[in-house]
Amino acid sequence: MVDLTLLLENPTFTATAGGYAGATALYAAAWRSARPRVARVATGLFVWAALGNLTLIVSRWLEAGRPPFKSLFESMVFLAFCIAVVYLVAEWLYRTRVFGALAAGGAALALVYALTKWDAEIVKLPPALQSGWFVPHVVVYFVGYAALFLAAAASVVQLLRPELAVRAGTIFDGSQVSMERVALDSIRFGFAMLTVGLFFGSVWAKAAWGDYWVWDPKENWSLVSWLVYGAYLHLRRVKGWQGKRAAWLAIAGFAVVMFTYLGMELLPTSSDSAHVYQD
Amino acid sequence: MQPIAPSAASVSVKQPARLAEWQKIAVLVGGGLATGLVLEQLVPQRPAVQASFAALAAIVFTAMGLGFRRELGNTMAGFRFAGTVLAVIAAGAAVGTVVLQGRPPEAYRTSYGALAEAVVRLGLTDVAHSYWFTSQLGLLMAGLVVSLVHRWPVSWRNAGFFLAHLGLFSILAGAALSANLSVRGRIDLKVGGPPATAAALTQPGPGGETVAPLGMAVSLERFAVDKYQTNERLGLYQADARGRLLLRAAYELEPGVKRRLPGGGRFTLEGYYPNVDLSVAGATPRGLAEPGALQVIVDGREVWLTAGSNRVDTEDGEVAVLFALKDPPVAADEPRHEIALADGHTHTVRVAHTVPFAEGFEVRALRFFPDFTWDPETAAPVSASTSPDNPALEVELRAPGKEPARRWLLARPPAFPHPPDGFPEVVYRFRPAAPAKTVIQIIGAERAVLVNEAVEAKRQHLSDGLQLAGGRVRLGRLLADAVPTQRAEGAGPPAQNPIAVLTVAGVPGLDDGEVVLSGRARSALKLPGGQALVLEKPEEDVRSFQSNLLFARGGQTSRGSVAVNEPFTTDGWTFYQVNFDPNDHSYSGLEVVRDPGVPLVFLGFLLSGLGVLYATLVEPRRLRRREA
Repeated sequence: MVDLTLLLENPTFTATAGGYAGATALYAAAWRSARPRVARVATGLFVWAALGNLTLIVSRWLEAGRPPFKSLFESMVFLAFCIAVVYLVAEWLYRTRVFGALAAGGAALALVYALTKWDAEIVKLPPALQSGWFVPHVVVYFVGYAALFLAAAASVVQLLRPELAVRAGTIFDGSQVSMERVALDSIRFGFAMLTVGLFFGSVWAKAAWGDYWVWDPKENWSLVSWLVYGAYLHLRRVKGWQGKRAAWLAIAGFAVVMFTYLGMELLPTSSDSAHVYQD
Repeated sequence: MQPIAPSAASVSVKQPARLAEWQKIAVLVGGGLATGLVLEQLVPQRPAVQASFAALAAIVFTAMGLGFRRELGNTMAGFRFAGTVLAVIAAGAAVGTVVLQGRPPEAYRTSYGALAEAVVRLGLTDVAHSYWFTSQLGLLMAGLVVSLVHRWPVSWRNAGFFLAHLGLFSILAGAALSANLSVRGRIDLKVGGPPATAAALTQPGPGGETVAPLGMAVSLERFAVDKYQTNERLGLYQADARGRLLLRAAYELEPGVKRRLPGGGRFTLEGYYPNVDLSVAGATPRGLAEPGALQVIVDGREVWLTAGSNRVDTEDGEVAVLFALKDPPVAADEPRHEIALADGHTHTVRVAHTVPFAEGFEVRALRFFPDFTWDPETAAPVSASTSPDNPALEVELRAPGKEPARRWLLARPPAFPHPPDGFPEVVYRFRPAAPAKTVIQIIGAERAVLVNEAVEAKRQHLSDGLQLAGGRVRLGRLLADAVPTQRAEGAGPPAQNPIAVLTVAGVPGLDDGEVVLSGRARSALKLPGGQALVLEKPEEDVRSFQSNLLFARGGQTSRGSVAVNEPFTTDGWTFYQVNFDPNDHSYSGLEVVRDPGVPLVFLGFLLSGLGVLYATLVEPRRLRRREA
């Protein structure tokens, strides 16, 4: 249930979500507009919203006196920020804004979902999360999630209307951009982050619980996510998978990642997991 | 020259090799699964046995792949084989999150009915430790070794591959060592209690042993639990479909800050008094027909009497003034029964009457026994005499949405025990018949004053300024349907009796105005939509808990401390803080582990991590630069 008074009571959150929504609209408009200014304004608004998002994270950190990654609400706010940053870096690297609408839309969606999971109170950090591994484990994973989201977004564009990107007028320097290359690069980076995150988590588990791997449901699905993207990279390299098959696998992989992040409470074994977000 | 048309013979050459590879994969993977399923029926699950089985499979197939059957090696080094094995592992891991794991057999019969037998026989009750699952891990190890050997030597193009896959092998080898050789047990210690010299194993050992000697005596010198401090706050609760109260919002106590409420309207905290002493300081008329409060000056001291606070006596007890709306208030020559809450609110009750307290909570006095005792023959309370030697009052506590609860309240300790019923503790005070010489009873609805002196009783009309008892009592204003206003005093030390004074506006169904919330009485401001606002002090969550241990071996001692995320290692054992007893802070639950596989596993993490980073981030760039 969404409590809209929260939007009135929290202007920074509202402005950030509005910024992402506005950037989504402008990026989408830039697909049809011949004027580069529309796309530039979209980027400017997206950067502004990302800064607002950063403000939310920093202020929450200060208010809570701990890293703001404990609850589902906090992690969603952080995910929105990671999506924004990863996309903006990609926009700069690949000189294209063609999937800006999807990225900004994803960030906006993350904040809308966060609104439905607003914390009634700032929860204190339990002993199990008081570790130097907490921040690196979460940050690496969420940056990875953001990169894999980008890959899925690029794959969606690739599948829907790949020629649309070339005609959109949103490419900085007039060159063609391969959505597949963007997806592959993003998955490479995302897979590296998943790997590092998985290992960080295992080392932390050893210090906290005495065992580096306990076949916790969240661990199992993290492994499945990692294997799916491992399969993607192997199939591309060894079997020459590309085109639609690769795009669908990138999208399926992201679905698995999102299930790993958000779907654990749906499992019959969720009570066995130490990783399930509590409502 | 005519081109040679492809003949059926030349076209068919490729197909048998492709089919053969899939056949080999099917035999390897299927064979591993089948062998595992057979073992599942014959051999009880033991980590050491499973690890040995996986290791044996790995060694045998590695040897076959490298030595005896080279074409098998080509298959095992290929991605099709690895991908198939990994797909089975992934599927097994996923199944292990859908099927309940590690439960007693009855749980499976209850949850899965007719399928329970199959679930158990297939080893799905502990997928990660099933033989069929570990067979795939063994095959994976074999495939890793064979693929590394086939791709030798290492170059800049495949350095990432080597590092990553060598790392995976190291992880699996370390895990096999852990499964075979690790010792994992529990010790439970109490401060000042006997030391532990052995750990209770969480899994039976290879020989069926259930304890492992530590080689030293471990005792708990000190156990400390640290909690987060909490302060009073306003909590907004919402009842869900099952009637559970869920916290929707928490507000800091910041006077002057306007807050919007989710269902509409807003409130502002006007004042917060952590340790308030409330007395009826006045009354505000509402303008209805029912008189509600009477101003009385007794020996120069002004008091407002209301239904909830209806009596005042002179200091010497000679004169008693009682007020009631309708019925004559309790005559002073009858004993008085007073019920008090922890916040000091006191009400006088009469047998067979009900007295309201805060927010729907009310107390009905059922029976009074002057000399309460327990009759063992009838297993019921009785009154041993008419003399008030052990006064006791049976009451029924009621609140909306709760089952009424009955209790016996004794005026003298010890208290009569009662089961937890969710109601606050109440104190009972018995006042024997007061020896006041003059009793003045005011009946508000009749505007009548009854003055009872030793030998005569007089009835007069109530009027403002009426003096009685030789001028010691002067009656003041009688207010129609008054709302008592309370005077808050004292800021005092940590909130012993906190109240918050709010102004509420624009809330549908509620009058705008001032509301007082008491923390001690848990009074609630009921809001539309099943919500309520309360003043509360949240429970203090645990911040940390730590054990200070003393280790004694061979006449020497050493010390170490263990906390969550801060294990302590000594003599090859690592101690982990796993739990404590919230009701007994002298108890500490520790896990002790000896695991020789960890260094290999961590080495594997490092190698794999570096390999993946190289293969995904460095190698592609080098390749592009070379191609450019």
